[in-house]
Amino acid sequence: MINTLTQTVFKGTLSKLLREKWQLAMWLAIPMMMAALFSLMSGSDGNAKPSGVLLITDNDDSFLSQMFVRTFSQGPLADMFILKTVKKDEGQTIMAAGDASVWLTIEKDFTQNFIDNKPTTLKLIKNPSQNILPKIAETMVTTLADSGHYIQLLFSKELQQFNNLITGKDISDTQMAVMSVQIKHTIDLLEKQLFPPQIQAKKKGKPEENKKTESKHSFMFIMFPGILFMSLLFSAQGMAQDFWKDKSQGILSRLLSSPVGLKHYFTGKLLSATMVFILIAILMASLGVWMFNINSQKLLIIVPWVVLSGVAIWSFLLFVTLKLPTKKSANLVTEGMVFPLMMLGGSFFPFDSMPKWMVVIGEKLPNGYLLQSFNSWFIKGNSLSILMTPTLIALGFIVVFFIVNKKTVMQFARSK
Amino acid sequence: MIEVKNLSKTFGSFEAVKDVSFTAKQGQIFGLLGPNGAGKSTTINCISGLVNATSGSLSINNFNIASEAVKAKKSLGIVPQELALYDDLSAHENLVFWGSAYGLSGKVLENRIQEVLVDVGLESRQKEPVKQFSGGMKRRLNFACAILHKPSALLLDEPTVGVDPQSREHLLQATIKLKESGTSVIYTTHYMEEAERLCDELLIMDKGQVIAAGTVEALRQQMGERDLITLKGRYDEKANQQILEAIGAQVLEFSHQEVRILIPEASKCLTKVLEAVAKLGKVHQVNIQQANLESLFIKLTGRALRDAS
Repeated sequence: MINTLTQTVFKGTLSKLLREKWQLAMWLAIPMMMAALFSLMSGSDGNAKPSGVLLITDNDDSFLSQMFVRTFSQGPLADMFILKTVKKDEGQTIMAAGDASVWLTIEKDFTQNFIDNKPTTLKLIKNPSQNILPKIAETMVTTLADSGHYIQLLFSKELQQFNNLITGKDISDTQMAVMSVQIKHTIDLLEKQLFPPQIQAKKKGKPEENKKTESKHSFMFIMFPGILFMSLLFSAQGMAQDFWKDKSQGILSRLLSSPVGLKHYFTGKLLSATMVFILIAILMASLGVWMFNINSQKLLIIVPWVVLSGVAIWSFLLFVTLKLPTKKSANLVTEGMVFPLMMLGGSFFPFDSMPKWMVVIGEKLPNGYLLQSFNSWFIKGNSLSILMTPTLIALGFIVVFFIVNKKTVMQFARSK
Repeated sequence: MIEVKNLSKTFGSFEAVKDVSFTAKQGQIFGLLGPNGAGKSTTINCISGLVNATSGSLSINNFNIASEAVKAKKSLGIVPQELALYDDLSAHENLVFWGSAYGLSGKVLENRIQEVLVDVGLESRQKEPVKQFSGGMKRRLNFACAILHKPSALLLDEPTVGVDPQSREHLLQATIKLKESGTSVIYTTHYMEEAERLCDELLIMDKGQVIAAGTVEALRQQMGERDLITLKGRYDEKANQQILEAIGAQVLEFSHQEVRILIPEASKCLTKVLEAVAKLGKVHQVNIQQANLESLFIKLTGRALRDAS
C-alpha cells in the first residue's frame, strides 16, 4: 500500500505540473519544433539534393551541342539543375547578380571542330559563392569532353559521314551501309575490352531487408525516436530541479525531522516523474501513429520503453543535481548537459549520419544507448528480442540509481 | 519529555555546542536564550535529527533520537526558524502535505486541519495560496504545520522573528495552549520579554556554552534586588569608571553613547548616580527598570543580547 505522503507528493507534483501548462507544453513543443526545422533544412525525404540554375549559351546550336546540353537534363542531374538558355549579355547579368550556379558557353562550330578533330572550346563560368553545384557541373563537362575525345579517336570517319548525312550533304545507300558495317566492326573488335564477361553475383540467404526499410523512411520518421528522447531529457531535467526548489523552500530539511518523510517524498517524486513520462509517451506515440501510420500494436512496446528510458534518464540527471552544491550550479550544469546529451545521444542527428567517434561516445551515454537500442527495433525492424538485454540493463541502472539517490537525497536535505 | 545530556557538536574545528544538558518536562515550556550564534539552533537541529550530534545523548519520550529515530520523531513537532512551506500551494494544501508526512489522512487529517487553522486564526484564509500571505500569516501557518499530529514534544526555533503583534499574540497563545495540554516545548528566542512571559525554565547560552540555567525567578534572584539604569549621552570612554563603583553601582556597559549600571533602589540614589555620571560626560536620557534577564545576560557576558555575535 502506498504511503499517504507518497500519494500527496505524487498528486501535488502532478497538479503543480498541470498548473504550469507552459512548462509541460515546452517539453513537448521544443523537440517537435527542432525536428521540424531539421527536417526543413535537410529535405522532408531525407535525401535532399542541392539545386541551382545552369545557364546555357549555345552558339553552335547543332545536333551534337544540343545532345551535350541535354546531358544536364537527364538522370539525377535533372534534379539538381534548372537549365536556362540565355544570350551572352543576359548570362553576364544573371551571373553578376549571383542568380545562377554555372554558365556554360558552347562556341560556334563546336560540332565541326569536334568532327574534324580540331581544338574546340567549352567555357564554364562558376558562381564563386557556391561550392557543390559548380563542381558537379565542371566534373560533368570534363567527363563529357574526355568521352568525346575517345569517341573521336575510334569513330572519326564514321562521325564525318554521319555529319554529312544529318547536315544534308549527299550520301549514297552504299556509303550508308558501309558506315554501319564499319561501326559494327569496330565495336566487335573492342567488345572484349569495352564489355568484359559479365559476372552475376547471387547472394545466398535472406535478402537485406534492413537497408531497404531504412531507405524508404522519411527523415521525420527516422528522427521520431530522437524527438521522443529529447522530450524525455527536457522533462527529466526540469523534474530533477524540483528537488532544489523544495530544498530552498525548507521542505526537505523539515521532512528530515518527520519519522520517515523524506523516503516517501522521494518515492512520490519518482512516481510523479513516471506518470509524466507515461503522459509524454502516450501523447508522442499517438502523434507517431497519426503522422507515420505506426502500427498501434507497437504502442505496447513504445510506451513502456519510453517510460523506462525516461525514468533511467531522470535517475541519472537527479543524481547529478543532488551532488551539486547550489541551486544555480545544479541548474547550469544539468541544463548544460542536456544539449550535449541530445547531440551525442542521437536526438539531433540519426546515429547513421554521425561521425564514428561520436557514435562511440553517444552509444555509451544512457540516453544514447537506450535510443540506439530502441531504433534497432523501431527503425531497423529487428525482432523484439533485441530489446531484451537493454531492458535488463535499464532496469539495473534504475535500481542502482534508486538506491544511490535515496541515500543521496538524505545528505542533500542535510546540506546547507 | 525532551532530554539532552552532554550534547556537543563540532563543525570541523569549530565547537558550535559544548557539553549542554537540560530536560524539558511534560507540560513545560523550556526556553533556550542567547544571541545569534550562541548554539540554540544547532541544539534544536540535533534534537530534530537534522544534524548528528558529535557526542552526548538526546531522547524524546525516552526514545533515543539516534537509535530509535522513527519512534522518537513520531511524537516530535518542529517549527523551523526558516519557513518550510510551498508558496504556490494554499494553506490547506500545505497542511495536507505536512499532515501526511506524519501519517495522517482522510477525516482525521481534515478535522485536525480545521482545528489548527482555528488555533492560528487562519481558518478564513485556508484556500488562498501562501504566496499571498503576509510574513506573520506565513509564520502562523508554519506553526500550524508542526502541531497537526498533536506532538507531545515541540521545538520552536525563534517562531516570532519578524512577526506583526497580532500574529505574535496568536503564536504565543497557541504555545501556551499546547503547554496546558501537556506538550513539552523547547522555545528558542532572543526576545527577553517573550521568554519571561512564556518559559517555566530557562537556559542561557553564549558561544555554544550554558552560562546560566534555572527558573525565571531563580535567574532573577541572581541579579539581587537591583535596578537597571540606562544613561544615554556622550561619554569619554577613557574616563575612570571607578567613580560609579564608588557609589555602589555595578557597571554592565560603558561606551561612548551609553552607560548601563545595576544598583539597589535606583529611585532613591538617582541624584548620586547623575552626579557621578556627569563627571564622565553629558547625560541626555535616563531610563530605570527592574533588572531582567537581559541585565543578567549583560552581567554574565558583558554584551547585550541583541548585539552580541
